[in-house]
Amino acid sequence: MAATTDRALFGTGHRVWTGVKAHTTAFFRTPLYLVLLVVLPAIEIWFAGSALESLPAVAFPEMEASLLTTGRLFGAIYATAVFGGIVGLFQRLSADETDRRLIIAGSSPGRLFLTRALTVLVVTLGVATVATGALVWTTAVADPGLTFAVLGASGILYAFVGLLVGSVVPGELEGSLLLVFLVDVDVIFASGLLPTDVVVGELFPLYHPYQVLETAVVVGGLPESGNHLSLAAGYVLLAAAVAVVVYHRSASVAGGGD
Amino acid sequence: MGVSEVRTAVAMGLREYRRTPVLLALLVVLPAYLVGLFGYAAPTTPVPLDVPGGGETTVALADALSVLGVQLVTGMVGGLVGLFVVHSATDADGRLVVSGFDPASLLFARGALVVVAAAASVAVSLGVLALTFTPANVTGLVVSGLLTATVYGMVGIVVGSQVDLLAGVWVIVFLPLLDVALFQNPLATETTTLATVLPAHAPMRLAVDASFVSGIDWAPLATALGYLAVTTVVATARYYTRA
Repeated sequence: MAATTDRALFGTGHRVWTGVKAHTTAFFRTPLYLVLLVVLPAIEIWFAGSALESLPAVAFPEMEASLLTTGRLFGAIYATAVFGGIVGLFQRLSADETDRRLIIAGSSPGRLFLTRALTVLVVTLGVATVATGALVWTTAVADPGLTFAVLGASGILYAFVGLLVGSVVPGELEGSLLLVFLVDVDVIFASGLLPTDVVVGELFPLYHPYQVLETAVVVGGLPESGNHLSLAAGYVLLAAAVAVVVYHRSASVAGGGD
Repeated sequence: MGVSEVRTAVAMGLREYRRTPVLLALLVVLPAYLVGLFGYAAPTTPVPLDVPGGGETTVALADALSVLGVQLVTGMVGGLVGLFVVHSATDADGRLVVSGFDPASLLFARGALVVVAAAASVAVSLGVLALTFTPANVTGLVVSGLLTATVYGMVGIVVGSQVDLLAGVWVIVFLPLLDVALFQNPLATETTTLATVLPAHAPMRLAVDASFVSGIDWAPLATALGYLAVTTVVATARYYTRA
């Protein structure tokens, strides 16, 4: 009995791994994606720093880091979040037809979701690596390990949001519009580029990861005040849970139930 | 270019919009969300602002950021719609050209769809802006919003004709944010050389003027129209090659 369960688990793991390998190979085999994945975050980080440096500091009295550093952090967290989100969205939408057939053929929606999610996570962590490298190259980063971790978590958060958006909107244009507006507003508020006293600014998903990122880059370690790390983790878990539930429901309905 | 062909192609495109109620809803809700949130959440702290036609003046931070929000919205919507119009249309348009449709009519129709989406985003965002701020010259602000949206629409068509959809979306989501929100930020104390050659430079100067001084300096309009003409020519050439 135990041996049968072990074999079943091994079989499931093997199928998931095969799926992830196939999807990531298909992604990384496209040279243009690789170039954009490296070039766009680096450009965003570099130019966001230069552009913000020319803003008057008087307009942003509560900003802890310099405007140059804030610009670089803005670019890094934006690039990771938007890449993760869009890859999640397109994985979900392009998977729709294929996954539907696989579900009808007997595949479990849960396993298919895991395959898609792991593929998106691999790509997102790749972007986080590039963004961390670009930050270290352009800015004095006090804690590169924590910087990578928080950028990766920000990307994963929006990767799940992308998977979720892909499950609820009917097309790529609608999904892209929704996602871009969500990420843009989130990063603008989180980074303090739009300074605000109203509590709504702190409710955005990237607010807490940004606080951790800023401390990791500027002084190293975790922020002393606030519960930013656990709140950031809470947002990631919440996004993952909602994405799984909605995917399961939409995939089950499309595939005729399971 | 046959008028009836253009009319048919535009009608088909508009019918496609009508069949996607989620897209229509998003074209209303998302600009309202961004501009409304900027106006609501930004403080009214007085900040110095260099107005092209009026010299240095002091304005509320919320007003400056709301005007920036309008330009950002129009750039993002224009760019994405341009990109998707060229992607969704190319296969069908190629067949229509083979069956005798004039490519110029089709291109005009696709451009009209970008302009419709641009006009919708400008109307909604200016409507929401009016709740918190009264611009000095509404016409100037409308013109600047339409220019940002259509120039980015053409940029979207050019990008969409060069790369696949996923890569195109990546490029288009980076461009307007970098250009409008960062390089053309009206609060910037100095303008870099790079900022002056980006698509939103002239429309943003026009927008700042129209928002804060009644005697508007129309000089940036010529530059913006020139930019639009160049991007339209490039987009047309790329579209002809694909169709």
